[in-house]
Amino acid sequence: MSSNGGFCDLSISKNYDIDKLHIIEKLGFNTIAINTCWEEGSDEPKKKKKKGDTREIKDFVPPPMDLPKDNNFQTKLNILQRITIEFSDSGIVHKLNRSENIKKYDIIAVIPKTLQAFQYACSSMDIDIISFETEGRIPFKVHRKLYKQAVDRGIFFEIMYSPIIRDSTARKNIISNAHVYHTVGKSKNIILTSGADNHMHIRSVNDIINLGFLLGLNHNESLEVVRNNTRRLILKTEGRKCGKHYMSFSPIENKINED
Amino acid sequence: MVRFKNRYITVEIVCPTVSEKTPLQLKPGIFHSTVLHKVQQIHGDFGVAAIKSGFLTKYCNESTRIAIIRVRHGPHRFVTSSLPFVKTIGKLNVRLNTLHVGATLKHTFKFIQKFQRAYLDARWVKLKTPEERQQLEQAVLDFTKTDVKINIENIT
Repeated sequence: MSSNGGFCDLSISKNYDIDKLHIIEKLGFNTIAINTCWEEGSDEPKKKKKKGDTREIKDFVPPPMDLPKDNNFQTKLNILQRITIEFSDSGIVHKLNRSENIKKYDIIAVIPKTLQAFQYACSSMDIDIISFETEGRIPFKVHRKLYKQAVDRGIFFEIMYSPIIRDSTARKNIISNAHVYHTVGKSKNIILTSGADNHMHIRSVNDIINLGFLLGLNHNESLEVVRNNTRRLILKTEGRKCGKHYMSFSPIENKINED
Repeated sequence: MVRFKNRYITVEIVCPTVSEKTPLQLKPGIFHSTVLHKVQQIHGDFGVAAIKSGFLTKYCNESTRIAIIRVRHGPHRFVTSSLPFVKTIGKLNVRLNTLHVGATLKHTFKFIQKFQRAYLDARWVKLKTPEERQQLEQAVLDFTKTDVKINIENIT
């Protein structure tokens, strides 16, 4: 994984047509992340039935999407894998610790559903992104203290822009949520991602910076949101995988083969 | 001297349903009304009122699909922030791609010429006969539809 990511779009839906990746490349992006969603509650009833059984070792987290490796599939994009977990209480951490699949992902994002979950995510969970559901408002009050804590720990808050383009109610919700972030935490540590499942809903870097105007960011802030914050995020995720480190070594031979 | 400041926004209309080889034809005025309608939707009556004086759109090249929007400096943010929301023009599914925001027409045209040169180079590779190439060059570098002169006269 190279650390000079350039412009990043850190949430492309799993349903996105893989043949259309060159369009994203044309719009000026260098790094993308393919998103897999997982809701905690969806597996719950099955698990309770078989509590006495030995089947509990089953992995709850779905495996990341496979990328085709044949010669037809060639892009200059850096492709990362990202998972988004919806959860409502802190019990989830046991499942995550047991899961093998989760180690295959580069970026871990969460959608907390309750205040308790949000508190837990901000204070002690080992994650990279806190997101929210695009259909509704944030169902709890975001406290300044928690927001600050999350910023100090290097967690980023995500705003998706493709639902804004798609329909009007989502637009109102997302803009108001973005303004909540602005009033509570001066829009620190925010990243803008697309969340698109269609190539028509992806916008170029220039347009995203213009969109920042609606989300309570000024021109410099929105530039930072698209460029610097995502880079910091990628560096942080690498740090989470390897532990604290200052430099990384990689063999040069591989690079020559790629060229 | 206090100048009446403008901003010139250069926009590319991306439409995957119409192939690149055929020029994209739009009815006159439809692009103008689409942009105004979107500003109305996002910023309401105030937004439209703020940009109305001096608002001008030109769809200037059918083969490279470039349009220019002129707005007053200040409220131009209303326009730039609502451009990403445009999904359709008439019945066509499109995406608007902001290429450049400039302060003078001169620099905007310089940018456009550069852009069109790059476009031409990319297309020429695929064509074989020199006649075809010349035709394309004429079509791409055609500025007659823009009425540059009229535009400049309006401003000064």
